[in-house]
Amino acid sequence: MVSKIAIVGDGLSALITTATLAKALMRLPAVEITLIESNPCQRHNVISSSPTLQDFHQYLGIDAEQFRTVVNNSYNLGLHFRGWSSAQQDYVHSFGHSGEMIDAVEFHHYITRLKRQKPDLKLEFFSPGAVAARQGRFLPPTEESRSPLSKIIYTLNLDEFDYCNFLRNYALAKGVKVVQASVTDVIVDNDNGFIRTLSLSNGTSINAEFFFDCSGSAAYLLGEKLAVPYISWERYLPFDRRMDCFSSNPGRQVSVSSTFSSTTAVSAESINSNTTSLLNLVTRMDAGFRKRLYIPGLCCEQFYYHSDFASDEQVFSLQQHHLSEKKETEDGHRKKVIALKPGYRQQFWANNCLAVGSAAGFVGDTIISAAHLAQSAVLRWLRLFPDRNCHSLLRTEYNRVTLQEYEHVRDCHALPFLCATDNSSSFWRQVAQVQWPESLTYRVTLFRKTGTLAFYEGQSLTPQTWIALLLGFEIQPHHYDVLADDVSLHVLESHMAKRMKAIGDYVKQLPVIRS
Amino acid sequence: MPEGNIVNIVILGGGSAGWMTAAALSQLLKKRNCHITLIESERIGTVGVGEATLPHLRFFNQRLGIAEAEFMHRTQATYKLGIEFVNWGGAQGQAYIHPFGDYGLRFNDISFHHYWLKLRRTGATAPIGDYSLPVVAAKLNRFQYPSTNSRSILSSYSYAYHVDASLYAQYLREYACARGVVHCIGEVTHVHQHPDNGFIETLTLNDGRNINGDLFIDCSGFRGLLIEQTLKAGYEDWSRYLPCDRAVAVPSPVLRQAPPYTRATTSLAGWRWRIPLRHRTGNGHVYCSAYLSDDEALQLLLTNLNGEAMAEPLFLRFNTGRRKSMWLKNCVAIGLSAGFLEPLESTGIHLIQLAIMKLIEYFPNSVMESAYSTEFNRSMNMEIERIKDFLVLHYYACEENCGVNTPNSHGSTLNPQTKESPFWQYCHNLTLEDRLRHKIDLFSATGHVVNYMEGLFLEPSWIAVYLGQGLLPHSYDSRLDCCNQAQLQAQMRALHQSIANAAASMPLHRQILLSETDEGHRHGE
Repeated sequence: MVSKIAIVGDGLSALITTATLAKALMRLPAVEITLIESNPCQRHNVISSSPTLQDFHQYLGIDAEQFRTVVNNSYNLGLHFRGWSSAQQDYVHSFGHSGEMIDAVEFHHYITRLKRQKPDLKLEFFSPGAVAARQGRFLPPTEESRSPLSKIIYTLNLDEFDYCNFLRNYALAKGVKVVQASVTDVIVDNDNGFIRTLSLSNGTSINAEFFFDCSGSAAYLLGEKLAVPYISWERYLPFDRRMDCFSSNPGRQVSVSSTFSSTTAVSAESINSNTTSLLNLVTRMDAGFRKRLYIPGLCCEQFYYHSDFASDEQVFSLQQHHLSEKKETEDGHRKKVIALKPGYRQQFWANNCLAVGSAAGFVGDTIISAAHLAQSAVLRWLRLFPDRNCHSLLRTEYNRVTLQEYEHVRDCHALPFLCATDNSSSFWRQVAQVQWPESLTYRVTLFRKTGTLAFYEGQSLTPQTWIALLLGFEIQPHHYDVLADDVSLHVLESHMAKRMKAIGDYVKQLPVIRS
Repeated sequence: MPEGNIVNIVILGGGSAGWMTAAALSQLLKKRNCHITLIESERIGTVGVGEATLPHLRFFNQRLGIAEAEFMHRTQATYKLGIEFVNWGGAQGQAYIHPFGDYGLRFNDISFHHYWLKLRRTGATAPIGDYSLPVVAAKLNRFQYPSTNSRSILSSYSYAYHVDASLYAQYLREYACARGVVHCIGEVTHVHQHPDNGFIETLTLNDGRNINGDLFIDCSGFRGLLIEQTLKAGYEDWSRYLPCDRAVAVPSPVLRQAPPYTRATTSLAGWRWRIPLRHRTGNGHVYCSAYLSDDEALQLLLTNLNGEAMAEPLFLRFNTGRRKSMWLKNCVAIGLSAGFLEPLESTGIHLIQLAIMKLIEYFPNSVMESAYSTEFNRSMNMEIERIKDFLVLHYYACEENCGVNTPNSHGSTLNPQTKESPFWQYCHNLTLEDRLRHKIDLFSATGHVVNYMEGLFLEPSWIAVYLGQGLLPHSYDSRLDCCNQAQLQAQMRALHQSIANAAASMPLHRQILLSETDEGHRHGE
């Protein structure tokens, strides 16, 4: 079996990889795992996660309560999208279910039916998670809670620095070795292209049988040394920069403006209503979009933009402008610009090297978090656990399934761009010209025409989540399931009213979460 | 055309497909005020050959509100825990059961079969079937409803039925007619299409009647009277991969031990089925006419019956493949008109059921928005292609002489000198399509099963056939080399024992059927 493993990289994906491997393998005899970090995360930063975080922690055997005391975090019940599909769009995307089937017919068909009478009706009203999040109320479900309403699916925003330290300590406790050094040379076997040895900046070297490349978009091992090409998806995910701006004193009711320029896509009134620290706000802007994340004591605003349409300076000065408008203290303000390369590595696994994180690709970090893709990658590799020869069919299978996952996540992150209607700026005019992936246009068209969801393999989102997203981005089906007409209008309306009341009553008694 | 509701639905054909469709539409669309007409040509008495089903049929019946006890009683049904494959590979004379259930338990995130493969190398393990409760129970002719307690070992399996398909069709006919379906006997002599768009408008029958429809369901069997003969949807031929093209069926007396499983035994150029019903046994021989004559096929079937034939043999001809568009214009093909995969894994009724449920999910209005038919065809194709792969695996993974030495030779004059079967050589040497090639190669090399989320046959099914037919992987998950061997063996023994105990505690299938029959009689009085 593969018993000597080296992981190269500094960021979260390297630590997710290391912790997962530590859990899965360190109990076996003769296993040696080494993490090589050159420049570990030093600053506090906020990351979002997906609800699979809890499964992942359960897999690692982490006590949830204890975790929350060690890693600075806040509850997150979903995303709040604004100004994408229309200036008025104001959609809370919750992680959980919105409405159960009635008489074997999916709930959303009834919404489509009722919308003809009540144009303001939204699927979101039937999601306990969305209703609670908008009111800033939440209580994490417990094992004992019986009511289906109480099963609100949530995840956490995390302090990246804390989380990295936590995972590193976890791995260390399991016996993983951590080396602080950078890789200066990679020695590859001439016969089969397998990596054998890494020479390090501290003068030592490391031999291993398998290598994880978590070195970021540069992909030092898989990209540079093994020359696996990178395929760009920048046309579908049109951004190549992210500027993170931090403020140390976020109030819960921080008002958020939406554009870089004066052509405001979203009115100030709509922006000030109804967002809370339980939601990560995702607002469309003239040259991209902005995502806002909180944890106690730290607010991070991430600006996603394309360097062809906005310079770093322009973005930064806009950010400064917002801050001075808000008259916030300048303490601890800092910014960081990160280059993004939407796309994927043509082989995620080549020879004896597997890429995780940005080395494998970047397909967005909003609806599905990048952390989720890292967890999923390592667990998939473990399911196909290779011996030292890394049979080529295992690699083929891994690459096949991973590409399905990446395409799926790409599609869900491209959806907001596809739905954007405003083309008052040159950036959005260009977006309007994009030829979207066939899988996405097929899905959108089928839903618009019929109200049904196309099936694709490799789903990271449940069908219900896709439906919520499509409706949230104002794709209104022309038809609904004929069986949704079987219930009389009167019965249906009273059923819906009861449901909304039950959710409202439940949410009302939840505690308000303060940030 | 103005957008309006579908009012007139015409179903052409009255077999299982036709009556299942009529029954489901009459119940599920009952508030739509549709007029449903089923046209059936007069039949020359059908032979009750029996049909094996998959567990999904239970959900179909549930959706229609059909009580299980009544269904069992009316269709002379028995319970089914899986299919026994006899002489399909491995050692000669060997058999394996493909169960409706799992093997063993997943442990440390590694599938059970890796543990089994590991221990097999040391010789210290029983056949993999011994670690599957439905397999062990089936071999003992025992049956019990699965437990709903997910922690109980009795929840590790599912079940289906063997039914008399013509009784099922008859039962559904009563059901459908009671819900307003008009049953019309006649032959279609002419199909009228809309001159512009080619939509089917009217069927003229041999007695001169005209039947109008907005939506036509073609259940007319292989010939596809509407979908093919009228609309020319085209047929994708799969006989290269699934070369059997004939079947002969004959009923025989009841099997006293009431096996709760279907049996499929290889023959010289195909395979024979045995389906145990309450009132008789369904038998059939699926074969390839290029390698076996009808007479030879019948003889092989008759010499292997468990008693006298109870009726004249019924011969069937078919051509494996699929209709290129199962839904075209305002016509949906359901059943054999949509395509034919041979009955080796009892998928016939399941594909009918799947098509009906998809049709209801995508039920159109009179405009016939093509997005519905596109998605219907796309998703049906995906299902059927995956089933095809699984079926081809059975043939491919067979040994070159697997049909030859079967215990069918008493009195048989078929090539007694030769030890070879050209048919099985053909199958064994087949050049596979890439998708299946990848699945088989991955498993052979590493023991890993290609997984997908949707589809009928998931990991345990593939493992059943791979291992059952002796396709043993060259390796297993290498982490198991680090496990404590003695501990592993002890765990396996304990599992083996607990499954054996659970199976032995189940009642005999025969007794279950008897007690139900008694109850049926009481209710009938």
